Amino acid sequence: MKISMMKKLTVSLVFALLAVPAVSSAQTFFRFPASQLGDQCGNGGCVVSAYKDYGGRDYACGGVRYSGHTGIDYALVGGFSKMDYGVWAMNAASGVIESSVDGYFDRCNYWDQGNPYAACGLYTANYIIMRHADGTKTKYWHLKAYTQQFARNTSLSCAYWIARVGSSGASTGPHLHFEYWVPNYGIDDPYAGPCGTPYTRWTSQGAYRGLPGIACQ
Amino acid sequence: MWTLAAMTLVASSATAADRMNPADLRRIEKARERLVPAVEKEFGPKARFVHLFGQGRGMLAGVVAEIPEQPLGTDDLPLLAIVQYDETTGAVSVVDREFKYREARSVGPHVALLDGQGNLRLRERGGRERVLAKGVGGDLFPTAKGDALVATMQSTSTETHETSVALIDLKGQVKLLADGPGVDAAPSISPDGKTVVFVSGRTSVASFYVTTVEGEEARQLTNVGLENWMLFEGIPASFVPPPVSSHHMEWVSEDVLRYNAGGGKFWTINVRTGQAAPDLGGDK
Repeated sequence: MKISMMKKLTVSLVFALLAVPAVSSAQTFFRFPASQLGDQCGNGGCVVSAYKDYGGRDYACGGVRYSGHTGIDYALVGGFSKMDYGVWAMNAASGVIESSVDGYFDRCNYWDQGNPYAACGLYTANYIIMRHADGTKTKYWHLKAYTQQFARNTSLSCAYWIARVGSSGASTGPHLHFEYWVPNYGIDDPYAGPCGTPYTRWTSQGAYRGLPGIACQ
Repeated sequence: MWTLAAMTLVASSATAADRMNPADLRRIEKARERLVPAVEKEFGPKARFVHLFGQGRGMLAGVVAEIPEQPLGTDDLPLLAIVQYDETTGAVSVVDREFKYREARSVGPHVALLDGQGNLRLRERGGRERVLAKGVGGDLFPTAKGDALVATMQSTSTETHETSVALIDLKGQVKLLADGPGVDAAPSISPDGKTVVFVSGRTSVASFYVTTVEGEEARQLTNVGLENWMLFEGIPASFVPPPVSSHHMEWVSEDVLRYNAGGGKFWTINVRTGQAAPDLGGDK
């Protein structure tokens, strides 16, 4: 029993140490990709609704994931009312807007029993993709229509309001799907944990099911 | 003050049903009258139909096992069981009761079934089933003849080309028609089987493009000259909303496509001229 507890403590300590940014000036680290002002994601305005899937578990060996999920979903508490109010997605680090699409309907709702025409297809989300100095990319999906602030190829320092969170595309309700992509590897996870990757890519990862910090690199 | 602003915004965002063509509302009501009890009988009281694919005798519906009591926003779209709903007679029959499909579409007398892994199978009228293609993303749309379908394909080339558009015949031959940067999706093929329209975000505003079954260079039909950031300053009168999928597209003539621009608000577009307008119905 004691040995088991010791093992658990050791594993926890190892990952607590690893879940701080790896020491390398070349790598890009991220802040939370949305506003945490009091009327935005602050004060419990946003929650993690799904982490990246590791074969049935999330990075912390929990179950906040779904099969095949490649990014992290931050849902707006309050749903469409909160979306209508407006919550800003923010670029998680400095970089260049590599790709973006706007114009798609943004109130897609897979669960609307009264209207089966409210569900949208897989490829109709408004999105922004940013490329960072180390070649990594961050992707922001399901954005609210007509809210994008910058043209393609615009260079931004960290933490601009880039567009509002919405429910465009394959979506069950308003949320930001945030994805992290690494050259020659593909989609990765910015969170570090015992069932995920060893190094965090957040400037401050925060607690499990909490939100990462807002400090820029 | 913030609360007041939020309430004003909510109040001003009319529900999609307020803007729907009455004919579309009647179509949904009629479908629900038949589908809701049939789905409950076949799949149990928690099951719900959430998708409609196509129109007429071969309309299909997607069924989920249950809906979360307090759903949070995610992109977790549960896989579907498929039923057929004949709009002309109201008859409902189960196509496949396993919850394993992303999408389905009638192709002539057959049914094309797309599973969660991107495998597209054709279930023939006699029940025989065979794989038509792999790496299929969705947006299935059949030819009028029922001898092929167009679809969105998952990326096979560079990371910056997220999806492409292809023609898939019933022998399983896949012919790439469009593969631009970003997302090429939501295709439809004209009744004469020669023209293919699809949506692309190449310009940063989702716009209709037109090509042929020969895969000629695509021509932009709508939203020419617009960029994403311009929409924030006010939506130009010339802006044409893109479709939310190929599921509800319908050709009303050789040149005019009717499509769901979101929430059941339908538009029509002339695929020769690019002229488009909302189809909200008249006083009737």
